[in-house]
Formats: sequence, structure tokens, C-alpha cells
Amino acid sequence: ASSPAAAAAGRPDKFGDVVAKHPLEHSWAFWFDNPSGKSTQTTWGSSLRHVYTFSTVEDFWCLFNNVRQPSQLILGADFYCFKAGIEPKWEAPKCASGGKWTMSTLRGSKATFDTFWLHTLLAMIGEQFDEGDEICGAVVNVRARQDKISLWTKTASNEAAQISIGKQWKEILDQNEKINYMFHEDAIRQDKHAKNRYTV
Amino acid sequence: STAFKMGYSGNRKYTRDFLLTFRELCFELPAHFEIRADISELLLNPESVQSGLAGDSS
Repeated sequence: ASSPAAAAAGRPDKFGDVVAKHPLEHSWAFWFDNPSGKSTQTTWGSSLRHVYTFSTVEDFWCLFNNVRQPSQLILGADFYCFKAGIEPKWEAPKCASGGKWTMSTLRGSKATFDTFWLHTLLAMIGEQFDEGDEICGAVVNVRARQDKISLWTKTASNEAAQISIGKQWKEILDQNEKINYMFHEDAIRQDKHAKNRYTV
Repeated sequence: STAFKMGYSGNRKYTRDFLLTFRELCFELPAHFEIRADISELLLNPESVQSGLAGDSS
């Protein structure tokens, strides 16, 4: 067995052996949407930038430890972590029939916001959800009135799976407030008038 | 609630506590990491050593 320290960088340990990093079940990708670009972009999503794809515990931390916490991001920013191969867009093939659970935190509770984000990421990449195949990814939206973290899932119509995921997410974050699930297709068709389908 | 599942099941499931043990061990940006100039300043943490190398050390 290797020490975490030796394995951390994938470098030779004190015996000269290169210790393997800890592989994740899936590869994941970080994406960032640059709010300052939106005013000059005519197509939604054109300011979306792929940041980094990782597939080991160590590479996750190497990236995470060098990026801003959600509370430090500029207003309007969107920061995503999605399974590799799934673009964080409603119209992406693996998202089109999906939806999202959303948890809001009032601006000002920065520590809570940052902790929710980290714990959501760790639960995803650590495969802590029983219906892990349903998980597409998570996004944090930094907004003036209310920050939001959403967990995107694949099959919105599978109520049992979504309810289970919602309950697990609340347990993971030790959160008691009600959270709501919205279908992407409702959000697309009805915009701000779209109603939540599930609540836990 | 952090340890409601085993630390490492062998099926690439990792608990939060296990993953957190690596937090203080991995600070270097990956060797081949590249970030677009238009989002570098907005995304990289100016307090981290590595982002300082990325040109945001002022």
C-alpha cells in the first residue's frame, strides 16, 4: 500500500517507485462560462469554455486547489463539473431528456456556498449516489440575489430515481430545506413560467 | 453523514473523508494544463502559487 503523499503527484516514492494515482469511476470535465463575454455573444453558450478533464482523485485536487471558490467568482459566472463527453447544455444528447435539482443559498453565506459545492463534487466523483448513471454533472451559478447549485440528471421522467437522488443530495449536504426538480424541456418551453415537477 | 458509505469499496467509490485526505497533497497544476487567456484571471485563484505562475501574481 502506498502513502497518499507518494501517490499524490504520481511521482516516485522514497523507494523510487512511481505510485499510481487513484482512478475515478468516470472522467469528469470542468467548464466555465465567462459572464463578461455574454454581452458581446449573440449565441447562448458561445462563451462556454472547457477548462480541464480529469480522471483521478489527485488530478481533481490539483485543479480544484488552483481555482477560485464559488464565493470568489465574479457575479454572473457559471462553473460546471460534468461527466466527460457530456456538454453542460440543455440540448446535449444526454441532457435533453433530463432535468435538475437546485439548491439556493443566500448571498452572504459564502462558507456554506463553497462547502455545498465541494461536497457536491466529491459525492459525484466518489460515486456516492446510488443512481450514479443518472448523474450528468453539477453547476454553480453565481448571482447577485441568490447563488445556486444545481445537480443535472439524465432521465427527468424517472421520478423514483430523481426523488432518490434529491434525498441523497440533501443528506450529503446535511441540508433540510426543500429543494425542487425542474425538467429541462419545461425550462426551455416555458422559460421563467416553468414549474417544478418534484420536491423533496 | 460524511461516512455513510465505506471509505473505499474497490468499485471506485470514494467517501468524502477519503477524498479529503488528498486535499493538502495536490497543489500543482497538472503538467499539461492550459487555460484560455480570456478566463484565466476570472477562474484561477490569485492566492494559489500556481496561478501566480499563470500571470496573475500582482
